[in-house]
Amino acid sequence: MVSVIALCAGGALYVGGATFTQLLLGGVLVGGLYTVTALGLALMLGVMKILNFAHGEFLILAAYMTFWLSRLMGVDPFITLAVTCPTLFLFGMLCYRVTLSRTVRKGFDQPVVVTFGLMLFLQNVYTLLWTGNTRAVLTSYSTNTFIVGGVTITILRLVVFILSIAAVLIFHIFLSKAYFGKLIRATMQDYEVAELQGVNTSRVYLLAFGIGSALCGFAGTLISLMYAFEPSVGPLYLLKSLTVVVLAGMGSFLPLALTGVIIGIAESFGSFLVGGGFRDAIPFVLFLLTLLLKPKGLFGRY
Amino acid sequence: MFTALAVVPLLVRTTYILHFIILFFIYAILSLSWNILGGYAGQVNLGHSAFFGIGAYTLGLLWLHGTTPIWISFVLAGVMATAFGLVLIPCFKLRGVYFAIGTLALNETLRVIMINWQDVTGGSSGLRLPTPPIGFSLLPYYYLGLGFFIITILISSFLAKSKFGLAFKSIRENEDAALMLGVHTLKYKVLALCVCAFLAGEAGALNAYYITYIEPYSIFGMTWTVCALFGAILGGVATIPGPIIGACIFLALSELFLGFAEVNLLITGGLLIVVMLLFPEGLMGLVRLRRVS
Repeated sequence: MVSVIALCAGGALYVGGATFTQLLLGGVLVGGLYTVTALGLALMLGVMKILNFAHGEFLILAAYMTFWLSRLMGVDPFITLAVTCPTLFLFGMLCYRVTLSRTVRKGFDQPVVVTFGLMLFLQNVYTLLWTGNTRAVLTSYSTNTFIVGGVTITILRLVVFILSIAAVLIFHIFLSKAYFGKLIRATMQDYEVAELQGVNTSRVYLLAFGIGSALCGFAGTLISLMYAFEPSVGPLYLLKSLTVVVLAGMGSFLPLALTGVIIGIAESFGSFLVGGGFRDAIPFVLFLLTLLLKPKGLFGRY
Repeated sequence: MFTALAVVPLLVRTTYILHFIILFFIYAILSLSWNILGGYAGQVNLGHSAFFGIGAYTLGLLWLHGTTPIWISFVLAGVMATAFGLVLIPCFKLRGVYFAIGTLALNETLRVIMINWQDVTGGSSGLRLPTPPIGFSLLPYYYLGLGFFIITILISSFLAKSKFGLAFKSIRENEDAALMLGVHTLKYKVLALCVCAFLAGEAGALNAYYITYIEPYSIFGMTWTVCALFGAILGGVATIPGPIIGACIFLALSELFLGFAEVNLLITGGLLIVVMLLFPEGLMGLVRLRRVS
């Protein structure tokens, strides 16, 4: 803890006050996005112990949907959330039913290869359908900023951040208060006992996968607003989300907000220090470090 | 089969067929090498391209910048790949899925570093290697490939049937049980990794030697990992003919859809899913079933 503070102080002195705050803030805002992309993955991982390698592809599907809806029908991207989330929900359940439902408890290898195959499949479907060209969703308010105390804040990023934190909170409330949320938690903790208590675990798995996919839908729309994307960025987001999840620890959802922000800040400062080209490598390195030094994550329960 | 392969270039004059078989050797070596760690020892390695790429770059750089004899360069390619493989050792602390992601993360990190390390790797424009003094006939490449292919098969068979193979299989089936029975799991995992990395590095070196052009984005890309994975899983993990057949099918698919890489990978992805769900033993498993019944 002390070392972290010392590092921060040293960093502040090194880059200068205003830049430090700018980087910090930028990192925090981006971190919100990383948090919400990690939510769906955390759910699938926690409940079914399945790592969905196609997670990035689900995100990108939502991004593409937002892109086409806003391009073809002029719909405001935030409104498309009402479309992308349910669609991804159904799509996720379909994928699960067709591919994964048979492999859920059979160890590691099968789901890994199956989701890997799914990732390949989806990635190339997108390339075939929509070409490999980079897309981004731009709106009239994409570049509006306001300046607070010498630091520039992009309004869009702020909105995305607020939405992300809201999503995490709502999800947390859902898990702790809603009946189905409790079913999910029960299955997460011990599926055998849950079954003994009368929980229909297959249905929980199916719906959990669906909810996880819907969360991907939410995150994907936000991604399309903030970044450019193309079919091949799926694995990148997968690894970043995974870093957030692993750092937080399996089975914890609220801490995802914290770790997402940590990753965002690390990326922000890291790319400033070592140069933009390495920006994407920073989460990977963090991921490896976490796995090796603190495999249970900071708040892990399992 | 070997005599047939050895004789083929003397009979067949079509350059394309020779080219196909040379590529097949490279893919087959890649699949067989993955099979050692992934099939026999059960550690799904998603960062296989890293070994491939390092082998390719070692050979490329030695060739481009020095007077190192080609044979030594080939050996060094394997050695460097193995050296990188040793970096993977801490990942062995991780089980199952986490190991897979760890290898994937390492691969991607390496790729990003290599793309940015422009002075050494030539960045996105890659390295163009000089045409070797062997000349323009495909025959020498063919026999070189054949030689490595045979060596890889020999090493794989030897490992599979020896006590190492038994240790690997025990680790794959149940690592904790193996530990309790006194199998030094880490030692065997590292051994499998070293062999796997060495052979994959050789495949990479072969690829660089034959294609004479390497650039970091593709050489460390997923295609090679997919090739290895697909070959081993479709053909049958933990068998020798399995990855060979699988690699052949992968190559056939990619040549079939030469202009449409997307369709090729799409089918590959779909097939991976189908194979894993319906017959996880791969094609060799089906053959075995038929023999039994």
